[in-house]
Formats: sequence, structure tokens, C-alpha cells
Amino acid sequence: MVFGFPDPEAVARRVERDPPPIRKGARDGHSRLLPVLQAIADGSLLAVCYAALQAALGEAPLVGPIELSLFAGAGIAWARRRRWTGPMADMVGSIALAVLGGALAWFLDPAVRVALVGGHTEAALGLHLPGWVGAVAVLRGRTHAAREDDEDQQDRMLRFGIPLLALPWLVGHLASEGGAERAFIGTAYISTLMFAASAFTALGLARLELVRRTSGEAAGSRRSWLLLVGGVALGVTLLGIPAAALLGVPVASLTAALVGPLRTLLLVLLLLSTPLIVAVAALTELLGPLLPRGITIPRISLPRLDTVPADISSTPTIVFFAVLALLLVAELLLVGLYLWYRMQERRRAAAAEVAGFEERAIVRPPDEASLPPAPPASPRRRFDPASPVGAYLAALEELAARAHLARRASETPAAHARRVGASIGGPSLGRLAAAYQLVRYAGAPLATRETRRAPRRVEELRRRIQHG
Amino acid sequence: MTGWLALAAALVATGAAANAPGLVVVAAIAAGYATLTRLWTRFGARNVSYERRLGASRAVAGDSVALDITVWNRKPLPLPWIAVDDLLTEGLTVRERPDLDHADERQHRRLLRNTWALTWFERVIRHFHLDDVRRGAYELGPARLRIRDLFGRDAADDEVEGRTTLTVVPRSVPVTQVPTDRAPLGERRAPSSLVADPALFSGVRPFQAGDGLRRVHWRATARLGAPVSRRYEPARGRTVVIAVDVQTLDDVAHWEMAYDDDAFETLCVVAASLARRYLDDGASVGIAAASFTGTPQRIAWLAPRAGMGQVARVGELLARIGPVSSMPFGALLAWLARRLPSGATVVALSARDARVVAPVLRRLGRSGFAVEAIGVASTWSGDALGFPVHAAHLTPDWQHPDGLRLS
Repeated sequence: MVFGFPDPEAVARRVERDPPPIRKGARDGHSRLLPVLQAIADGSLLAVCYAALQAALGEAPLVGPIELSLFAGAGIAWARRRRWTGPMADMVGSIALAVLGGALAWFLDPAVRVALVGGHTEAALGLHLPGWVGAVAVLRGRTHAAREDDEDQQDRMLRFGIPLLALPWLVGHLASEGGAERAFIGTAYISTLMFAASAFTALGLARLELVRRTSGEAAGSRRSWLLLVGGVALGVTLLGIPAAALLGVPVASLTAALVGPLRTLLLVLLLLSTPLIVAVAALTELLGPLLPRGITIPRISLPRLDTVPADISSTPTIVFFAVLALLLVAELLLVGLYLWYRMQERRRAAAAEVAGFEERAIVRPPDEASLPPAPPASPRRRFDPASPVGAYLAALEELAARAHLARRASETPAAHARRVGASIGGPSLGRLAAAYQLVRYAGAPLATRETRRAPRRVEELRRRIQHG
Repeated sequence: MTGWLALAAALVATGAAANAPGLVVVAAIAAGYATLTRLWTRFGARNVSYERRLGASRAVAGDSVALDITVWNRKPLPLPWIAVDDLLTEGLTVRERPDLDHADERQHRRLLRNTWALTWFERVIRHFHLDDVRRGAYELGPARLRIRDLFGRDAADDEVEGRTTLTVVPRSVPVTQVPTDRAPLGERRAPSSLVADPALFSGVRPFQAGDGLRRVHWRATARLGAPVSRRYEPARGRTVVIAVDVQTLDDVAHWEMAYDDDAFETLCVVAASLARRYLDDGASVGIAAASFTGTPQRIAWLAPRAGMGQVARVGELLARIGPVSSMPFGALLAWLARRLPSGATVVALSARDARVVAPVLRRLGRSGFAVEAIGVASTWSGDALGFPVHAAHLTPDWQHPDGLRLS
């Protein structure tokens, strides 16, 4: 209604439901995906910086984007926890997690492990300083505590992250050579691609989530958007591999970055299994004297943590192709997933059509060029002043060209004739109008003499118009 | 975006100078970001059509009206996120969107938000329903169209100016009069009359001796070749004007803008029903109310006319008036006295105590107008007021009325 006042109860209801309720399913899906992307973006950016630092020290990077993303993810998970939310628990937990991340990254260096096994703790502490990047990754993840700041954070990440990427790339290239440079390029290249894909997707998702929170829109459109942006990310990946060769990035060195996480995983498994192995060894030592003569238990030797792994860049060709095949399978799986999602979308659209709420169709607008040409404008009608009707219409046409003499919409023919007569003089128009009405409306035959006078009256009118 | 492209160019140059191909990768990312976002900024809002179509432009209170929203991306560039905020006048209930947000920039407006992701050349039609529409004049539009790019950034926006109006007229119900032996409210149209109304032209007839020259229809005479005279409708015995008292509370001044919504809606239903009844009986019916109707005029006025076409006009006017009074009811009646011919019937329709309007009506009666009063309040009583008084009762209520009983 145009009038009246807003219903106070309705306003109160609006305030109560601001922000609007979020559907559980949609929020859960988002709360899983966005932090994962944020962690990957943070970890990838740090991985480029770390690789440059290692390259400057003349060493190959030992931690890749995946490991650092896991560290950052741990930081995010801690920051968004629902229990132990007190300030003291927060401080202690954050510091402990950062120390743990840093220590794990530090421990990934074989030289550190060799020094530790050899009892040279002080020397070990001076080694693999960039390993502390792990701690930084955890703390970086810690900054994503507030979901409300996701959009701002991701915006800043892109705004400053992309230009920032140039610096480690430049340092890495200028400060290293040979194998170290190749190792740097491999890690930095993969990290950069991962950063681009995840940071852009996270930004889009964070913005759409912000819009959804403020407007309460349905999540249906976001699903289509996610598919589109996922397609672009997939395109980046598919283009990235051949682009690496074009840019002079040694493809074999890419495997170093990809095999790195596997190596880290194995090391972690080894570390986790060491206590078990030690326990089994101790048990066998205890059981040994109790066994009858002749039965011996083979000695269990602890795994060696001080072995230096072979240079990954010299990985056999078969490993390289195996990794490549894995990538291909992964991408095919993604394409399959995308097609499956499209199929689901179509099913949903079909279901919506059945429900009758929404109809979707691909409709090409008609091509302007294929439309039939507009018919040519009809030629201007010329009235024959030889007949009384034609003479009056011709006179009106002549008068219409002069604004002050043209017949007005509200004017009767008689009033018009009077006005024209007063303006230019002569009774011609009045007589033409009378003859017109007699012929057209009364159906009265006009005398021949009157018919002959009609063109002369038009001529006279023209003359008066020109002179008047 | 120019900054991003400049950055990309600088990185390529640096990469070439330092023989660092990695910088080219970063440059490609920066350039890709800039190009992708520019695509939607530049072309996003182009060739997007938005259309809003109502199933009917007029409806009766309580009806359900279909509303179709169509958005069409008429270009090959897909739109990852397009939102349209359509402004609706407050009071409309959309079945598919029970809760509509208030519009921040316009008072008494709600937002019908729709969001889509459109592929190339995709057209989407959403079928909404406006349920149980209330009496009023509603406006739909304009609409604000916003487009976001692939990264969720605001890329383009546009305003679709087209507006659609929906007029919801009050229901009109059969009127029964109790007791039935009283004189009817309206007066039947006279089949013939000594006095013809020159404003009611009804055709021509052959010229008769004694017809004045002014009465001759010269154009028709010229066309027919025989003299013909104009023929007029006989003058009505009574012109009925329903004066609606939009003030619904007794002890509140007209400028206080306080009202009883139920009483006002009841007044509208009663007025529409009475108007239909009078018109059925052949009377000329007009409506007057001291209310704004979306124009600067302070009085909603419909001149009396006969014929069933007047029913629609009465409904239209009643749809547009609101419960906020623009002047005292007495002032409206005084204005009517200057406007109407002597002898016209003024039917005062009010929800207030009869004594509030009685003095003005008595004055009108003394001025030569036939005056009647109809009250919709349950306490209405017109004893010894000096003019005929009726009490109107809608059964069962104004929201779902079946009939109007006058007693």
C-alpha cells in the first residue's frame, strides 16, 4: 500500500532475523571448503618464499606447498576451534602449535637429523633455519580466526600476494644456480600455480559467502559459480604443465616438489612408528634369554634417520612418468567430477521445472542481420487538387508545413478556416472545407463549376501563403 | 585493472632482463586476473534483459496474482552471479518468498531478491505468486541489477526502470436491507423525463418542429442528408455521492495519522458494495474521500456517473485511498456542497460515532441535499439525528465478506 506505516512487529522480526538464518547444509559445505583453500593459498605463498630462501643458501627446498598448507591448516583449525577458547589456552596452544610446526619442518632436514643422532644438538640448532617457516605457516593460519574477515583477508592476500611473489622468484633466480636453481624453480612453480588457483577461488567464495550472509540468498547459484571457477582452476592446471616447458622450467624438477610430500609423509610415518619398533625391540631383548637353545630372534635394527636422500632431480624416468600419470588420472577424475556435477545440476533444473517454479532454456536471440529488412517507407501521398476532396486535403498539407497555420487537433474545420482566413486573408479554405464536407459526409454531388473552382482555390491559397 | 596490467608488463620485462622465467608466470597470473575481471566489468551488463510480468493488472482483494520474472543473458559470456533486487510496494505477500527485506533507499518498499548463475544465452523464468492481495495500489519496480565477476567482485550494475502496477480493488458484496419495507437506498432511473441532461449525449433522432438550432447535429445532418437533432439521456432523479470518512478513530485529530485498519478496510468494502448496489439500481454514483491517492490532490473524487463502467472506476479509487486523512470530514462535506447540484444525495459512510458527523450532515440537509448516513461501527446509533441512518454489518468480516446487511 502506498500509505500507512511499517508494521512495528514486522520490523522487529526483521531485526531478529538479521543476519538471516543460514541453512546448515550450505554452511557446512562452505566451512569446509573455504578454510582448505585459504590454507593452500597461505602455504603455497610461504613455499615460494621458503624455496627462494633455500635457493639463496644454495640448498634444495625440503618442504613444499602441501606441507606448509597443512601447517597453515593446523593454524586455522586451532584458531577456529570451539573448545578451549580461553585467552590462556589460546596463547599456550598457539605457541605450542607453532613450535611443533617449526620443529617438524626443522627436523625434515637430513643434516639436522644426522647432527641430532650424532648428539650435536647445538650444531643441529644452527641448521635448516628456513625450517622455521613451518612455525610461520602455523601462525599465518592463526590469523584466519574470524570468518567475518575472510573476504578482507583474501582480498589483501591477492592484492599484496601477487606482487610479493615476484620478489622470491627474483631472489631465487639471481641467488642460485645449477641444481639448487632447478629445485627452486620446481617448488616455486608448483607453489605459484597452487597459490593462484586457491587464492582466487577462496576470494570468490569468501565474497559470495559475505553476500549470502548479508542478503540471505540461496546457495543454488553458488554451486554453479563454484563449478565455473573450478573449471577455470582446472584450466590453469592443465595449461600450467605445458607452460612450464615453454617457460624453460625443467619438467623433471617439478617431480621434486610433488615427490617431496611423499617423502615427508614417509618420514612422519617413520617417526610415528619408531616408538613401536623400539617397544618390539625391547620386548625381544627381554624374551631372548627365556627362549630354548637353538632358537634365536633376529635383531631388529632401528630405522636410520641420518641418511641423506638421493637427489630428487636425478629421479629415474619411470618415477617421473608415474607421477605424470598420477596427475593425469587426478585431472581426469576432476573432469569426471565436473561432468557429474553438471548432470546433477541438470537433474535439479529438471526437478525445478516439474515443480513449476523455474524454467531454464538456452535461447539464442534473433540475429539482427537475419531479420527481414524493414519495408520501405510508403511514398508521400500526393493529393489531386482536381477533385474537391483532394483539393481540401492538398490545402491542409500546404498549411501543415507552416506551424502557425496548421490545423490543431482540437480545432474544427470551420474554426481552422476562420483562423487561416484571419491570418492570410481570403475565403478559399472555408469554401474548400465546405465542399469537402458536402462530398465526403453528405454524399451530395457537387456542381461542375464548383469542382472546377477547387484547384484554383488551392492555387490562391498557396499564393497567399507565400506572400502572407 | 590498469595497475595489474602494468604490473604484469613490468614483471615480464624484469623476467626477461634477469633471465627469470618464473616472473613470467607471476605476470601471467596478474594479467589473467586483470583480463578476467575486465571481461565482466566491460561486458557483464550488456545484453541482459529483465522482465516482470503480472498475470493481471487489476485484482480483487483476496485474489492470487501470478508474477513471472524473466532474466535473459543474450550474449555468449556466462554470468557467474547476477542478482536482481526488485522493489515491491509494502503489503504484497510473495508465496515463494515469505520474508522480504525492507529496501533501505525507499520507504514502504520491500526487496524481491533473485540470484542466478546464467550460462551463455540462458533464459530463466521464475513463477511467483502474490497471495491473498490486500486492497491497494501497488507498484513493482524499478529493479536493480548487479553482476559479479568470476572472483565475486562487483563488476557491473544497472537499473531497470520499467514499472508495473497492480490495483487491488476491495470486494463488493450483495447488499440486503432489513427491514425490507423501507425505501431503497438508491433511486431507480427514470425511463423518461421532462428534463434531459445535456451532458448525457445518447445519439441523434430526426429533426422535429420546435427543435432549437443548437440542438441540430450539423455534422450528422451533412452526412445523412436529412436534418437530425441530438438526443439526450433523461435527467436522473438523484445523484448519489458516497462520502467516505477515512478517519476511523473518534478522539483523534485528522492530522495525527492514527487509524483503525480493520475499520478502514470495512469502510472500503461497504463503499464498493453500496456503489455497485446504487449503480445496479440505475443511479449515478460518485465517491469522495479526504485522502491522498498518490497525487498532490487532497481529495479523492470521482464524479457521479451511471452505468456499470463506473463500478471499475469506483474500485480503482477505493484501491488508491489510504487511512490517513488529508482534511477533516466536515471540510470534505463542505467541499461537496459546493460541487454537487442541489437535490443530490450525500451518503456519509463512517466508522466513527454518528454524533461526530451529525452537525455537518444536518447543515447539508438544510442546504437542500438529501442526506443519509451509514455507520460500520457496532455502536452506531442514529436516534434523533435528523436524517436517515443505517448500520452496516459485513458478514462474517471484511476479509472474507459474504454479504452486507443494512439495518
